[in-house]
Amino acid sequence: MRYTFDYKDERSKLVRFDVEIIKDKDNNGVIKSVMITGDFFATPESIISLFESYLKNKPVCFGSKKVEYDLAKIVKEKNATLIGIRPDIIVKALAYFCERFKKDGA
Amino acid sequence: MSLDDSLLGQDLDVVDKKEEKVKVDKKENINFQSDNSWRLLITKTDSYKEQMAIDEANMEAIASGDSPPIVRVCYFKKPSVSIGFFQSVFKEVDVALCAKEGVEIFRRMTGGGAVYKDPQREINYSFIIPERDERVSLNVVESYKIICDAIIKGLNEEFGINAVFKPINDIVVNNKKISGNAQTRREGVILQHGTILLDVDYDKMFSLLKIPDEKIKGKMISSAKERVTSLSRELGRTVSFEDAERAIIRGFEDKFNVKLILDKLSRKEIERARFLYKYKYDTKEWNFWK
Repeated sequence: MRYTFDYKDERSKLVRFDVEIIKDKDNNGVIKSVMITGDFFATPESIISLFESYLKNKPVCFGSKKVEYDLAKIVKEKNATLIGIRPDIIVKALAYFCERFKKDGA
Repeated sequence: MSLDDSLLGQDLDVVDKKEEKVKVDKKENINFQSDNSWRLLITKTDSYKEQMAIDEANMEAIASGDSPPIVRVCYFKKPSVSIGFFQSVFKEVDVALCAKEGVEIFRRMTGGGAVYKDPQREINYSFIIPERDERVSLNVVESYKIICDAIIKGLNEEFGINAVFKPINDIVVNNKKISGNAQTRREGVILQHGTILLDVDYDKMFSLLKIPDEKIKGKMISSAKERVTSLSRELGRTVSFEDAERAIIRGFEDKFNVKLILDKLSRKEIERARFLYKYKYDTKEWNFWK
C-alpha cells in the first residue's frame, strides 16, 4: 500500500512523505520504502537520506518516543542543522500512516 | 545559444591570456591575500544550470585555498524553474508544460522551494566564503541574517527603500518578499545564493508550478500580489540590471568592509564547472532524482 502525507505548521516548511507499506508474516505493517521531500533546509544534506534509511524496514506502528529519540540522535551525531523539518514531524507522519494502515489493511 | 557559445564554452586559450593579465593586474594593484579584497565575478550564461556548476566550482576553489571569498552576479538567458535540493520535481512542477514552453527545470544544491526564474525580471547573486571566516557565522540561521544584511544595505542605500530581513531567509519590503535566499555548506565553505526581483509576472510565477487544486490557483496569484513585490513596484519605475548589480556590489562592500575586485573565472574553475555541468547539473539523474 502506498500513502502520502503532507505536513506544514507555523514553524515548519512543507514536508511531504511518500511511503510504501507491506505486510509481514504476522500481518503487521512494515515500511518498505519512504521518501521525504519538501522545501526545507538540512545540512549536511545526507541527513534526510539517513532518516529514510532509518525508517526503512521498521514497523509502521513503531513507538513514537523511540523514533523521535533515534532521529534526534542521528541529528546530534551528524551535527546537522535542520530548518523547517523536525523529528517530531516524522513521528506525526508515522502516526498517520499507522492509522491508515490499520484502517485499510491490517 | 548552446553551451559552446556561452561562458563555460569559451576558448581556454583566451582564458589563459585573461588569467595572465589578471595575474599582472594582481601583482601591480591587487593583493588577494589581504582579508579585505574579495573576488567579484560577473558570469553570463545561457542556462542557469551553468551557474549552479560555477557555484560548486567556486566553492571548491575556496575550499582548496585557491580563491578568496567570492561575490558573483549571475545573468542567464533561458527561463527556467528551479527546485530545492529536497523537492520532488514531479510533485512541484508541471513537467509537461515546462517541456512544451521550453522552460528548463533544474535542481539547486540548496534547499528551499520551487521558483520560476525569469531572466528579464530578476538579478541573482552568489556569495561564497569559508565557514571559518569570522565575518560570517558557523550558525546557519545567524549567517542568513548576516549575508542578507549585505543585500539589504545595497538595496536601501542604492534605491532608498526600506528592505528588512525576515527570518529565516527572506528579504521583505513593506512585509512583501523581494528577495529569496538559500544556503548550503560543503567542505567548510558556505554558499548563499539568492534572487532580487526587479519585476514580477504574477501569472507566470505559478503557471508552471503544481498547485494541488486548480481552483485555488487564482487565489494564490492574488495572494502572491499581497506577499511578493519587486523593485519596480516599490519604486514605481523600471530598474535596470546595472543599477541592481551596483546595489549588490555596494551592499557587500559596505557590510563586510571589503573591496570587491573584478576578476574572471580561472581556467581550473571553468574546466571544473564544465565537468559539473555535463555530468551533474545537466543530467536527469541530478535534476529528477526525487
